[in-house]
Amino acid sequence: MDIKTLRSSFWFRPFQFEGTAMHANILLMCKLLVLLVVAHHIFIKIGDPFLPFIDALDYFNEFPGVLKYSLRALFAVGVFLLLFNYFVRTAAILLGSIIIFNIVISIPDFYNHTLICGCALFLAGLTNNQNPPYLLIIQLSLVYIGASANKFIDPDWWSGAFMHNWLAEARENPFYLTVSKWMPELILAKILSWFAMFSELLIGCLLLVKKYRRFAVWTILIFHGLLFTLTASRFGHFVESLFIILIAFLSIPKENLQIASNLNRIKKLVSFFDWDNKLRWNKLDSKAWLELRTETGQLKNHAAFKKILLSLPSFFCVLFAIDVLLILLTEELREVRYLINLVFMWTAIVYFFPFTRSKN
Amino acid sequence: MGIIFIAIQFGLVIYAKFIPERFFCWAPYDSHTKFETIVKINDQTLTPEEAASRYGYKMKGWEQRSINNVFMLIEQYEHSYGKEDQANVKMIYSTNGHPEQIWTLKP
Repeated sequence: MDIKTLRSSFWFRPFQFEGTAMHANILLMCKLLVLLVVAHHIFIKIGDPFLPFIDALDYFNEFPGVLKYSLRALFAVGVFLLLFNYFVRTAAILLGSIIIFNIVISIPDFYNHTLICGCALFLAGLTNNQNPPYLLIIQLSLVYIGASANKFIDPDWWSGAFMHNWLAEARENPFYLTVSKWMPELILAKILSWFAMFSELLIGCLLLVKKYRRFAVWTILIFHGLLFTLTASRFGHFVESLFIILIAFLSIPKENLQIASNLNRIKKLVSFFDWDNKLRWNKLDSKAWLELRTETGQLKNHAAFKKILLSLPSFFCVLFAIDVLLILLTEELREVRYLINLVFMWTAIVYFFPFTRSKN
Repeated sequence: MGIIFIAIQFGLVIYAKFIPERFFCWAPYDSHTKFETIVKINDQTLTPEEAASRYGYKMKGWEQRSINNVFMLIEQYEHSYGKEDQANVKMIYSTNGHPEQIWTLKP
């Protein structure tokens, strides 16, 4: 089967993101969030009510299994529709609603990392492909403002008691235990606490201002990168959920990408990621090894390479697949996984960081 | 509909400031509590595994959200599904390194 036939086949639809009622990047975000919750056993977690937040929901327990299997069947339908690009907005609303409802019917299943996925899917379904994803932007801002507000009213965050107890007692964090010895009591805990509180507040506010949104996105990446480096924790799947939601902030061009290169290996590499058939190869008219022609001008070499990668949903799918594969392969080797994650994450952050200002 | 959905969340963030529990208000990892729950039914003490299975949630270790969330969970169980058992529940806990406290289930 040649690549053209493969691209137009039914089984290739999960890897395609263009031409639906959603922006390509929003659809990509939804598909990855769904795969993430499925990988975290959402199908098993969907059940009958058990200690619901609203007592009346216990009524469903009069008919054991009915709600559970109905929700599971609906979720499976939603996953199919979303992955295969049918009624994608309806599917996202359905999936988000089921995830949130499953939390509402069971207090023990309340986890912020699951809730954020449900909220993002629900709001993505309410976002059309004409306007920017304002609802997702406000949602993310609310997450950070809510988190900082809770910390600001807690004296243990101001005094450093929370941070010291968490890092020294609960986690026996080697970095904290070593560095805090060199400082007066609780000083490092206070520094870290205040850094977290003000970073979250700053992120929450900056997200709401268009001019600073890009800065806010990079602050989120670096803030959580530092947190992961310090604690080796992803807080359930909160960190990867947030990183996936940040895909909603990308601007993937709707038109085809006009590119040129005279290096075969670059052509092969870039073409590998072209699942939506978006790349149009042109004749190279400069000495660069890669060129991307945009409406505003030309990007060359690494600037072009970065822009192309960030414009192709397949690139993020590959990153996601690598992460899943790494988790599976290093089940018993958590320290190795942590180190690989660190090298991979910081290399990506440094490579893609916009050291020079550009409008893209 | 999206705006209403977000407005409800905003309302819940504000509401959470007036109650001890921290659900639906985006407060992950806001407190850290070391706790152990002792559940007695007919003078028989449940093992930590039996207690966890009873409430569908860990009953010993570190809780990374408000411990009031766990109190609510236990209370709701014992006042509904487990009412007939007349369980005696006690929790020894320490939040953010503060001195240990004891919480007991009120009948």
